[in-house]
Order: sequence, then structure tokens, then C-alpha cells
Amino acid sequence: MSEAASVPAEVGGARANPSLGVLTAEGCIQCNKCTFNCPVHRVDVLFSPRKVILQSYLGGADAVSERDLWACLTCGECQAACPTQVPYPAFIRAQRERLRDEMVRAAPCKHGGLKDVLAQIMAKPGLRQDRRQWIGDGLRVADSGEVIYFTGCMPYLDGVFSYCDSAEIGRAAIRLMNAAGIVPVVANAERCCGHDALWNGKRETFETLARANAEWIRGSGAKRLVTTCAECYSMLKHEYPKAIGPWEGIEVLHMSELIAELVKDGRLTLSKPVDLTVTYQDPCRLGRHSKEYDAPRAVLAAIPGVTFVEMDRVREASMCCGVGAYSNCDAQTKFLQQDRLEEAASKADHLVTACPHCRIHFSCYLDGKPVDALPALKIVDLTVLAAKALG
Amino acid sequence: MTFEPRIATFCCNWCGYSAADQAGATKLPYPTGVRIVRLMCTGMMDPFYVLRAFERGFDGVMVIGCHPGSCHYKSGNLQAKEQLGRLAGVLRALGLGEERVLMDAASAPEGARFAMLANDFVERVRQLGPSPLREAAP
Amino acid sequence: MTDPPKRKVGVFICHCGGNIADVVDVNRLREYAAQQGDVEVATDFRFMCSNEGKTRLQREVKERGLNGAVVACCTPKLYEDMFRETAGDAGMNPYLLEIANVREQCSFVHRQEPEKATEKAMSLVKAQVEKVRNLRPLEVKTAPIHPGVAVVGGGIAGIHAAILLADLGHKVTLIEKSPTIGGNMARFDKTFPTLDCAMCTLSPKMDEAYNHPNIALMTYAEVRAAVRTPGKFTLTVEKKPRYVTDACIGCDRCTERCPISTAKSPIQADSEWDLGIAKRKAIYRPFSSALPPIWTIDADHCFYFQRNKACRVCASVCPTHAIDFTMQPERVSVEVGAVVLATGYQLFDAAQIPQYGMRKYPDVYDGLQVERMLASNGPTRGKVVRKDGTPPKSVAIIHCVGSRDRNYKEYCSKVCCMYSLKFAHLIHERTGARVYNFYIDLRVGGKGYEEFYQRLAAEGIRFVRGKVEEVTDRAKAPEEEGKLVVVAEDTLVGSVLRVPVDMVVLSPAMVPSAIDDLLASLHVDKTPDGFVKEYHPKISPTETAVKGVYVAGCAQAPKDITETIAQAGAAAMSAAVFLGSGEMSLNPLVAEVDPALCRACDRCTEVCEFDAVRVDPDGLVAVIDETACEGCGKCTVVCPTGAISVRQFKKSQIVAAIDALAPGAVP
Repeated sequence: MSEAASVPAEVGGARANPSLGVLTAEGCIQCNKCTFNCPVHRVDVLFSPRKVILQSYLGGADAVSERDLWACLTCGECQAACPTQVPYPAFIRAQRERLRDEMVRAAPCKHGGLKDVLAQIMAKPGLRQDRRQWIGDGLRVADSGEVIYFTGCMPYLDGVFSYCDSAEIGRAAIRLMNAAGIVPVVANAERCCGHDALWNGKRETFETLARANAEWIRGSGAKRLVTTCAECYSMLKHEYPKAIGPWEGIEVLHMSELIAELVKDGRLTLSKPVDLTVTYQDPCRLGRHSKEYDAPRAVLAAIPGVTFVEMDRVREASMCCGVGAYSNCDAQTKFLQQDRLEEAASKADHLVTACPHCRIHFSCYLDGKPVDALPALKIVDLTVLAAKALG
Repeated sequence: MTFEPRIATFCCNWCGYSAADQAGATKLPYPTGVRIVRLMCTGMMDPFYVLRAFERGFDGVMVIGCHPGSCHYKSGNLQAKEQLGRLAGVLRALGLGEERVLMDAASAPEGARFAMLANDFVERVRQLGPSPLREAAP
Repeated sequence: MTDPPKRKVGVFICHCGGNIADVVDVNRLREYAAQQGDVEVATDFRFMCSNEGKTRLQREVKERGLNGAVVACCTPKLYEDMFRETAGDAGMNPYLLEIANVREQCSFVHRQEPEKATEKAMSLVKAQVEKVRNLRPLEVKTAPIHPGVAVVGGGIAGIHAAILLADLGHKVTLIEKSPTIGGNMARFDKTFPTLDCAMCTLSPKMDEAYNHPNIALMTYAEVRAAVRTPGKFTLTVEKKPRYVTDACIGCDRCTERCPISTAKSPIQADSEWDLGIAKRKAIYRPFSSALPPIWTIDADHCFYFQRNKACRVCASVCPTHAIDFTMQPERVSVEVGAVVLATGYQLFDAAQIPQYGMRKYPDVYDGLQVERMLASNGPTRGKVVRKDGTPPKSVAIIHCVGSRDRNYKEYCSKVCCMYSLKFAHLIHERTGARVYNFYIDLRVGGKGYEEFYQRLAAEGIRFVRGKVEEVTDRAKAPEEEGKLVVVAEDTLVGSVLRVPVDMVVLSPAMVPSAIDDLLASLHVDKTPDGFVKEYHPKISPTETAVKGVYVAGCAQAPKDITETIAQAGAAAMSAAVFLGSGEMSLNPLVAEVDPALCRACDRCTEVCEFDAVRVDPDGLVAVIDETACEGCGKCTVVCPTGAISVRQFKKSQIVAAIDALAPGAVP
């Protein structure tokens, strides 16, 4: 695999230097601000984004160690802090893609590799899913309509992760939409959004999934695409247009944006008090990656009885839940999760998440043995919380 | 030409695998599509292997271990049952269906039972047809 | 992370005579194997397990510097260890060798489909090549072997093996569940074909075992559990209380005075030793030369226990104060390096075939009951009599009761024809009765056995070839009144006979003693007939698949005393060789933890049945106890990061095999 020949000109902002034949992050001035802001560096002093950029500049992609390649959370704290806005997460993504062949053996998908193989299966042309079994009685969904509820891996999450109930997020979303007079489309043709495939360097799988999803979404005639998952949101909103062309006439929304809009327009009334003290975790994919910080806060403000206390590291400075694309979890991750959960527990006894994966990762940590004492903390999804306020 | 199912068969070293050997020793035939992977215990059975098998184009998956209460490692087969049980919803949602996965038991001397389980399961999968995920010709 | 060294794999395909090659096209298989990734050499040979086969393997390993090998042959359960050792001797790490099972799991079961079998063999070989490419060398640790040995079962097999091992200097613990050693042979009167007195041959050996300085005898004791740790078995033996100490001098006064089994007392105890054809008292000795010569109290029938300490007669007459009612069951731990299973047999319960009348009519007896009747130390002192005390004038002996019958036991128990003939001779000799032997075939293969049978024919024993349909007391003719009528077809003549007799003897199948719990805790399997599974039925009939556990006598399969002694000797020899080697290699195929991935979440410790893993609170990492870990892999499934894995069965190695077996993997 010759480096110069296979180096793409631009991958998500990480530009190539053709004369050197290496893919590096142009603009890096080696100031180390990224490292000082990097959560992984805080628990593993040998991990440094600046060092990785330098190594790849000097020695090519192969100079990046496997650990450095996979320990990165792709959370984007480095990029947010970087004075020249070096897109480090995209750079890492590009490196993972380049080393794809070796990575197929080394690419670590945690939790037994289940999420990874599920995505691979959903990329198969012959697949005929039955994706509505989690919906339950009393909830109305349609085969066609204006609003598509994109569920992503929802039908499969509870089969893989026993730490929390992910399907309840979906049921809450449909309840809220029904209450606002919306009967969303939940389609069997839906595939995994391809988030993990893209972030773990499996571009071919990502593109197959994206094409398959785009085909049925565009053919459905729907106008709006709503999702409760921050990862699906970042894919649908930002990456799909890059990969397979813009959505024409289709708006992509995160559930928090939809709820905020419906409440503002008076189409949804959250009247039943939910007496809880909560704090909020900005998911990396909704927050830093998509710059959506306000809609979830508007939703929390609209729920009667909720006392909302912000953590210290919020919005652009929010700290990642510890795991990105299910590939980095290792011996250091538990310290990151302890740190963030201690912070949350110091503000409230409920931590609200707007991404099912943040919820899964935090719940997984709490299900095992914490590394240190931790006050009682419950993880609750934003959509589920909002649905509790329905009269 | 009738379709020849390809079955990924996970056998525990002490019971299932030995039962398959016993079927061989007594020359009891079963279809060639049955492909055996040796594990030490069905407790080693990760649901990932089931999904990987389907992703690779197998039409069915069989897990043959010790009878309940007889696991060589006390409770490995119970864990396997539990883990595979969690896959049921996943298999249904994927449109593969739970019928394409079988977990059963055959102790070391039960060569005839192994052959019977293999023959019956292949037939069952034959009726279900090729896996919708298959890319290679059956 | 450093790259693993370049993998150089050798593939060795065995023809197994024609067992593999007659079905699988070994040439095509070899050519295919040669094309697989990292395969340096692919060869085939008629018998890989032969000396020449192994030499070829070693030559390729040495000359090419192989660091991986696949032998496509019979099941790994047979020769994986041997091939690994062979490769190890040639300088390759033994754990870089895997077996592709192309015989039991391919050629043997796909004989009618050679084309497809060959294609399957190709995928099986590819799967193992892919697995080997992902394997790493493993270090083999050793542990010393405990020098002691336990012999479970105190019949002739156990006694003989125990004496040999004790003579060699090993400390032997001989464990027997009944109150006396001797086993079934001690019940016999005479042994075929010479009609020697059984006890006369057995007694000296019983004495030798009883008095041997290296044999610790535990009678009235059963092995309840066994735990295997490297080099050692720890047996939990439950000793039942006899309530009689070894101060007992065998004077018999207690038995004389024991009140149960008198006309007034309603409690009757069946004598186990006499298999129900006689009664005994609550305090008893099974037979006159029982060893140890200590009496036993049966608490289920003794008035002291059953009637709130009402009776202490035995204690009051005992001259040495040997009675101790306060004895408790005792659990002791016995540590040994090897175990010999010599648990023997019991008879198939003929009452399962109700048409033969066992326990329905009073004068129907099975083989062991007749032995007790014939024995000079038995309840009738050797007289052959009916329940009413009169000698029979006609006796029917029915062979193959429950044997050679898919409804009961499919196998032939080998010895029953000979003992049936023995009964015919002895009964006729003692009573002059007309004796009929109803048989299917006469199986008399053994030294002097055919000659024994020929002599009987001359004695006027009547042989009827035909399976007996039923034994009935319903008379259809005057001469059948008050008799047991045996209804059978004489297949040589072609007519149905009704033969009225005074006594019926049933020769039932031999079934193994009930030792399922013991086998389960030792991890020893059974063969489909229910007997202990030997390592190989031809070449290794005394070893089992568990290193250090041996089997001898009827526990392994029905056999006569000659073969039992021979097998017990062989088992003792095998055990001695094993113990003599002093150390055994430990199984490295256990779990290991990658500390860089361990979250210290405790999920592995929750599922481990063997207490083999714990989370170190300081290092916050899971730590494996390699001697406790059995390698089951439960932990590997619940570990969220894949930090814990079982050597030789890592996910990447298994996935490589799955992928290779998938459709389309083999072009």
C-alpha cells in the first residue's frame, strides 16, 4: 500500500501534504494546547494529540501507535481549544481509515464486537428487518408521513447492553410526537447510521449504509428526519450530505430540537410536574460536533418541577462520557467516567443525557465497580424525562 | 438443485465435540454443511460469534453443549443459554428469526443424538431457506 | 505493539490408512493447503501417528523452522497432546500446533459424499491454518505429582491394583462403600471353569490388602466429591458410622443377642450381602470372613436408634466395649496423585422385565442370589432349596435377561453364559434336578470354557435355543399345577415349549455400579452403555481421558475374573508410571488478562465458578490464579473490553476459524 498513491486530498478537514506523501493535520503549530485539554491525557500522561501529529508528520501514518490511534475519544476538546482549529478527530479518523487493513484484525469493538457486526449485517443487501417490536401498545407509527423517526440501533441495543433500557427512549419519543399530533414513520428499511463504521475507519461500510438509508429516506417523501441519538444526528446532518449529497427538502433534527420547537409552538404541553434535581451532559456529537447546546436546555426549562443545575464543564467545554464509537474503552476509561460522574453527582442526583450511548457508557460504569466512592446518581434520558411530563 | 444449508456448529470440548466424534466413530452420517468450531465450553459462546456467522453467510447456527446440570465447568452451559436468549430479540428484528439458532445438548456418548440434532436442524434450516444475508451461492 | 514474527506453517495430512483417504481426496486437500496464507509446506502421509509420520513432522519443523503446524487427522481428543509433544521435541512451541478433525468429523460421517467431504476438509484445514496464524507460543509450567493413590472399590480389581501399587511403595487408600472388602467375587461359591472355591482364591488377597503396611483401608465409606488441582486430587470421603470400634474381637455375642428378626419383632432387615434372600440382624457382619472383621450396626433397623435408645443389649454383652452409639458420619479429605476406579458392577434388576416373574413368584432368583445360595458361607450353607425349604426337582436357567435387547441393555455381558453353565452343573450336582438352559447363543470364549461346556452337555443338561417369552404360574395342564411354567420357542426344532419347573434362575445383564456423581466430579465420561469411558477401547483400556484417573475391572466393561485381574494389573502399572514421573505439566490453556484493557469492573469475578479471578484493589486490575482457572471462558463473554481471554481460544482465533468455514471461503 503505497502512501503517496492512496492519500486522499482532503478528509474531513485534514489535508494531505502530497509532496511529503503523508496525511497530516495542516495548521498545527505544536503549541500543546490540545494535550492540556485532552481528557485522555489527564488520565494517561503519555497520550498527546500534539505528539501524534508530529509523529505522523515525521514518520507517516505507520508511525502512529495502535494505542494512540484507538485511545482517542474523538470528542473534539482538542479542536475546540486549538488556536488554529486543527480538526484532530477528523485527522484520527483519516488515519484509522488508512490503516484499515491491519485494523480489521486490531480494530477493537468493545462489548464483544456486537455493535460492529450488527452494523456489518445491516450493510448487507439481502437484509429484511422487523424493526418495530420494541414499540409496544398505545403508540402510533406509520409507514409513510411527513416525519421520519430515525431509530438507528434502537431495536438492537437492549439485546447487547443490559445496563439500561434503551427502547424506552424510543417509546418516549413516539409518545411525545403522538401527543403533538405527529404519527412518525418507523421504517423496516432503516439501517444503522454508520457512525461507528465511519469513526473506526470503515468507510466502505459507512457509505453502503448511508446509501441504503438515503435511498429509502429520499424515496419516502418525508420532510423531516428526527432522531433521539446524537450520533445518528451528527451523521445524518453533517456526514451524509458530504458522502451522498445534500438532503433536498428534508430537515434533520435532534429530538431535543423538535421538543423545544413543539413546546414553543404550543403543539406540545408538558404539564405534569417532574420533581427532580438534574444536571445535563452535552453529548460530544450534539455539542461540540454539531454546536447544538441550547435546545436540550430549552427542553429542561420546559419541564415543570425540574431543578436544573449546570456542571462546571459544559457546552463547548463539556467532558466526554469516556467512550467514542465503542472502540477506545480500556483500563484508563474508568478514571474519566469516575471524574465526570463525580462532577455530575456534586450538582444533582440525576444526570440527563441526550444520546443513548452516553447513557449506556455511564450506566456500564455504574453497573461495574466504581474506582472510588460515588454518591448515588441516576442516568436518565432527556426524551424519557420530557415524556414523564406529559399529562 | 436443493439448497444445502451451511451451519456454524459450536461444540464444547467435553460433550458436544465428543458427541460429534462419537457420531463419527459409529459412522452416523449428517450433511457436510455442518461445520464444527471447537470451544472448551459453551460458556465461551459469545453472541458475537452467532452474528458473525450470519454476517459471513451461514444459514444457521447450532450450539451443542453439556446437558443442564452436567457442564464440565459447572455452569458454562447456563450462561450460554442466557447469552443466546438475549439474542432472540435481535435475531427477530434482523429478520433472521430465532429458528435459525439452536442450542441443545449431547453428552460424550450420545453420538446418535448429535447426528439426529444435526440432521434435524439442517432440515429445519433447509425449510427456512437460505439466509437473507448470504452472498455466496448455497 | 510489535508485529508477531513471520508465521511459517506446516500442514500435515494423514490418510489414516484409508479411513480418511478413501473419502477425502488428500491430494486436492494438500494442494489447497499449500496455497493458504503463511503455509510453507503441505505434505501427506499414510499414518501421521506412526513413528515415520512423526519423524516427518519433526523434520519439517527443524529444517524449515516452522512456527505453526496443522495436522489434519483424527479427533484432537486422541492425539493432540502427542502431536504437540512431537512438535515440541523438534523445537517448536507445542501450542502452535492445531488438529483439523477430518476423520471423525468429516470422512467418517460423509462417506457417501466424497466430493463434498473433500470440500469440507479443505475448509476445516483452512480454519485451523487461520487459527494457527493467530496463535502465540505458550509457556508450559509443571507441578509435582502427589505420590499417593486412591483405589475406589474394594473388590478383586481394587484389591489387586492396591496390592501392586502398595508393593511398589506407594501409599494407597482403598475406599469401599460396603462394610467389607471382597466385592462380588466374595459372594461366589465356585469360579468357572475350574470350579475352584472363590473365597479360597480371594481370601489370601483380601488378607494381604487388609494387612499391607502401605494400604490404608476405608470401608463403609464413599467418595462424595473430587477436586482436581495441579498434580493432586482431593477426595472428600464420607465415612458412615458403624457404631462399632476396632476393639471388636469378632466373638458374635452381639449378633446372638440382638433382638430384631425374632418372631415377636416386626422389624426385619434384608441382608444386602445375600441380596435379599436372607435376613440379618441390626448388628451384623456381612459374611464370616469379612474384612475388616468389625461388626456394623444398621441404624435404620436398630432399636437403639429407632426406638429412642430402648435397646443396648449388644453394648451390654460386648466383652471389649466396642459398641459406640455416639459415632457420627465423618468427612475426611484424602489427597492423592492418582485415582483407580474399580467400582465394579451390580446386576440389572430383572424385575424390569415383569414377565420373567422376579419378585413376583417366590422361586425366581437372579445370578447373584443363586451364588449366595450355592455358597458354603451363604444362608443355606450351599444347599439349593426353594423358599419352602424343599430341593427343586427341575430348574430353568434363563440366559440374556435384559441383555442384547434394545429395550433394556444392548450389549452382551460376556460372563453370563459361563456362570449360567456353572449354575447348571452345580445345581444338578447338588440336587439331581433336571436343568434346562434357555439361551440365544452360547458365548464361551475363554481358556477352558468350551471344554467346560462340552462336559456339561454330557451331564444331561438340557439346552433350549430360544428367548423365553414368559414365566407364569398359570397352569394349562395337570403337570403344570403348582409349578412355574417357562414358555419359550425352541428355535432349532421350531415349536413352542411350555416347561414346568420348580425354580427359575435369571442370568441378567451386568450394569455398572452407580457412580455418576464421582465420575462427574472427576470429569470422567461414560460410554453409551453406561460404563466408564476408557481412553481408547483397544490400545488404552485402563486409562481415562483425565490424566491420573484409571479404571479397572467391570467398572469399565463386563468381564470375568481372569480379565479383571489382568486389567487391574495394567491399571496399577499405568498409575505407577504416572506417579513415578514425579511431575506433570500444567495446562496453560487458561485465562489471562491484558492490564491495558482491564476496567476492574468485577464482571469476571461475578461469573467465575472456580474463584480463579479477583480484582486487585491497588492495581485496579483483574488477576488470574492459573492453578484454579479451568479455562471455561465464561469471563471472556462478560468482559466489556475484551481484557480477559482464554489462551488458544481468543476471540480473534475463533473468528478466524468461523470465517474460514463460511460459505464462499473455500473457492
